[in-house]
Amino acid sequence: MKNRKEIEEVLQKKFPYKVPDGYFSALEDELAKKIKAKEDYENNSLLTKLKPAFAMVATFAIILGLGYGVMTATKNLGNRSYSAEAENVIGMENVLEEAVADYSLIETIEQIYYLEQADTLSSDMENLEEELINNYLLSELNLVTLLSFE
Amino acid sequence: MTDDRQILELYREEGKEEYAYNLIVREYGERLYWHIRELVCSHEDANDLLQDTLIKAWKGLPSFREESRLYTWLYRIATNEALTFLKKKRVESFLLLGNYTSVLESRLKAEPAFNGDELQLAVRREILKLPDKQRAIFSLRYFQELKYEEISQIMNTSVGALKASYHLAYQKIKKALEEQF
Repeated sequence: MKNRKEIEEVLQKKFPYKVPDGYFSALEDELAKKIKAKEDYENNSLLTKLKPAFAMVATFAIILGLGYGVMTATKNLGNRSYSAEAENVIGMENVLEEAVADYSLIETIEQIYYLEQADTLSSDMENLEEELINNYLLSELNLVTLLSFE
Repeated sequence: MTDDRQILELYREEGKEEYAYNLIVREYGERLYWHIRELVCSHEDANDLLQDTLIKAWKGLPSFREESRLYTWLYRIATNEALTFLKKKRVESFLLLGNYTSVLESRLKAEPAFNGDELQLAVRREILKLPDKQRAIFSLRYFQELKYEEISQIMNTSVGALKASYHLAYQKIKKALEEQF
């Protein structure tokens, strides 16, 4: 090889491998048979026949899946809004509790005192109204009226 | 010899699809076989892969848009089939703690054409040591004598990268042979 310059001088371009006799001339017929058999199989196979049914089932499955998904998503959204509201209410209650908790004992007593005062005032108002009504009625009474009672 | 364009025109005529397809098989069947055989070495594998290639071509012909030439398209299918086959076989061999290159070498040794021709066998053994894609490039350029532009379409690789790959493969084989003989 050292005396040779290029691979071309060694490696022949002609294909040296052995091929069965008549292989290439029979190739056309063999292929035609194979293609026909393959097409027949594909046309008559159970899978080909069931393809439309599979497609329909798959479509229904997708629709059902999407429907279920939407329903689940909507349900979760409702729960989330309710819980948010509930959280708000709880939050408000906490604020009130905290506000009450901030009152000292003295302030609470004062609150109770003011409430009692308010009650007293309202009872005085009732007495006052009664007096006014009596005075009014008595001032309107005259002799004729008193006689008519008899 | 029928031109690619004529074959395709014939294929598009009603009722002449099968006739046009047979012309394709007659025109390119043998060339495709030798390209595949160079890559897989055994006749049985080459026959299976050639039939798969030509069946794929039959199925793909209705959608063939002539963006490339018919024979580069056929070579592309054949090369992809052979490379996919080799990849699968190499994985299988690896899982069985073997080496697929030695399987290919044993097929070469069993080939009666190489009986006694040590130099010829040594060159082909060196070619087998190349990575499969580089081997495909070498086969398309050296044995099939295709232009780099055509190989570029077949392998979906730039002409520059192909030239570099071929040159490296050529030098590697030459160097190995100089060391041996």
